[in-house]
Amino acid sequence: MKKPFAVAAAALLAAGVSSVVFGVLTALTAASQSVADALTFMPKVGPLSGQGLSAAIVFLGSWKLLALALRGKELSERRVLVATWVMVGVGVVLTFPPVYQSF
Amino acid sequence: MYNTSMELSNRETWAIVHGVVFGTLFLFGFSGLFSGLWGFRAAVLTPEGITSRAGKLTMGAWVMAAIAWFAVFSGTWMIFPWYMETGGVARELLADPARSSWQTFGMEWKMHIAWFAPILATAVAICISHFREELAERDSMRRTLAWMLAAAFVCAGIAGLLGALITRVEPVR
Repeated sequence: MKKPFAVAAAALLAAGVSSVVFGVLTALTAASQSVADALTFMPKVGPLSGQGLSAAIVFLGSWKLLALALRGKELSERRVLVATWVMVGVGVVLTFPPVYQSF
Repeated sequence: MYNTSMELSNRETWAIVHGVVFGTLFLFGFSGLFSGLWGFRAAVLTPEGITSRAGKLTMGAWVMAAIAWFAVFSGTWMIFPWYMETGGVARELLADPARSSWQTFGMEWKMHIAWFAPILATAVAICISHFREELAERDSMRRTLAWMLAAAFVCAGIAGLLGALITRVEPVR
């Protein structure tokens, strides 16, 4: 019997979600000093400390939540992969300096 | 007979650990894991070979993910504060219009793109761990994971290249 795809889907989608979150936080940091201050978990590192930690926590948290939510469900492998790549792409674009520095 | 010109400061040592040790291990490890994933096919492997390689792929994937996290954490929480401090590299680069782009573009991109490497590598490791031997029969998933690993490699490679170039322009001391 084949292993369920849901576990892998959760990990892949979690990577996508955390990529988007990281990208959005980067753009928001550039756009708003209050967001930058809120994400400054360590003053010597600046807002990157909050951006990075948030991305890591979102990755782990969303992986666990998605694994529970998707358990037993029939999933289209293609749709999961497309969604993952799109989200990672959005995150990468949002963290490209000319993009987020324009906010 | 010998002077101290080859001694490295504490900061230079950690910069080398971050970039040369962790970074190089990740980039070199990629080639082995990518080729291992790409060739992990039931059509060309015996059942014993699949079992043996599944274990190696799983271990290799997790080692790569761990190295990527160590590289990013050491860079963010150890090297970056030295880079950003008053009188540090960032201030020196920003004060010189001819070199400010190394900070406003180079370091800004490096410190963000690097974070995608451990996230993608960890997702790959989770999937390899989950499927193990079954991955040899799941061609689509296997190729996807290989390309995701390649994406992690590209992100790490961009960060590594920018770090090396910035260090050449103005090293952390």
